[in-house]
Amino acid sequence: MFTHLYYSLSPITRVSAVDGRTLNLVSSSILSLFSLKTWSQATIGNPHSHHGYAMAVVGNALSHVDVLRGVCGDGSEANRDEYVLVLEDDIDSFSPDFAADMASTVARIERDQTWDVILLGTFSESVDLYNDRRAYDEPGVEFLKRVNHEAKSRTFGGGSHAYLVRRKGACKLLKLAEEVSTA
Amino acid sequence: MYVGPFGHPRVWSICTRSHLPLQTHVMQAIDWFILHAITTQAIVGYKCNPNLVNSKSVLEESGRVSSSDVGGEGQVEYHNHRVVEFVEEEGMEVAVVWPTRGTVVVLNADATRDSPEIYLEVGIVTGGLAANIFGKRHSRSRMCVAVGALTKCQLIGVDEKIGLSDILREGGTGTKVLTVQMVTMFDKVIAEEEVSVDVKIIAPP
Repeated sequence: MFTHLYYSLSPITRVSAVDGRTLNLVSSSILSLFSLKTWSQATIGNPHSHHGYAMAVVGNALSHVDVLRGVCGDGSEANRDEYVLVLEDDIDSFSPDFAADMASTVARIERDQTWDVILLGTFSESVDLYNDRRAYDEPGVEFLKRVNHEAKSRTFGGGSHAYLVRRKGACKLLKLAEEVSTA
Repeated sequence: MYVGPFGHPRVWSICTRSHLPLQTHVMQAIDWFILHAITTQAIVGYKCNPNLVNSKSVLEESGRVSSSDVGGEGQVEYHNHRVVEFVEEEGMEVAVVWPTRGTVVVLNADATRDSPEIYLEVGIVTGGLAANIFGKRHSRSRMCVAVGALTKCQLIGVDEKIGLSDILREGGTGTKVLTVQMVTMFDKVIAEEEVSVDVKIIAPP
């Protein structure tokens, strides 16, 4: 289906996730990607708590950064409109007619030269926009609430479990993430 | 977005939302980092609706640490209206601003002497989006004008003006009906209006 896969010149590439529990959160490679200017809790296990971060969240972010680096490659101008499909390992289900839906989507997006990222699945937890799934209605949500100490919902949701990213988009995101290291 | 006199674009929005400042670095979970980049227009993003792919979002897996961040200090609300699928904006209104109905357009018989060019001007009131977001989202849409069998189109993201002199010149003088359309990048006509102009062609002095 996808004729524009780019990652490492291989049609399918499995990227090992970063285990946040094993990270040295004060390593230079992490400090260069995360804002720690307001880090006042360095002695606590999670220096990113100011941002609501958990170590698994940092690991997840680093996993995607690795993917983006692979997609961006050397950052050259060649093939910057090519794109890859990124799927996390917790994909649960696809739309009932996924093949046709995906083919239709690809046909449409290839006429649009402006996009960098297309989120194939998102969820929202406080407002039901566009029939987004309410994660707080899902089984197991109590676990999430306990972990985060409050039931405050994450307004307007998100989701990185499935997205298309263009090479140029990956390079832009990396630049945003890495710029602060020199700031 | 309002395309003003002589095609110079001006913008307004019914509801102009203050824009979030662009923050660099991964300051939240990666999906919100992406959403932030979209919201601040550092990148262009869409979301599929309905979802093509769903996730367990790790909530249902026992023993696995959630990689989601929810709630918490310093969190920012991100309206993902910005990342909707490819649809026209609800509440959007498009109207031909110039030439107005019944306008008299005078062209020189010598086409090389036309100055200034006669431009089509279209006004667009967005449906609640900040004007610059609207403009960016619709940068691949086209303004088209048809006079009889002649049609001209222009991407609004490239140049917000369409010169009319050449197509008005065809077919001689008299009242001509212009059909003006806004067409999405998927060839869907989202607005259409007709205006009539009275074309006169004068001989060179």
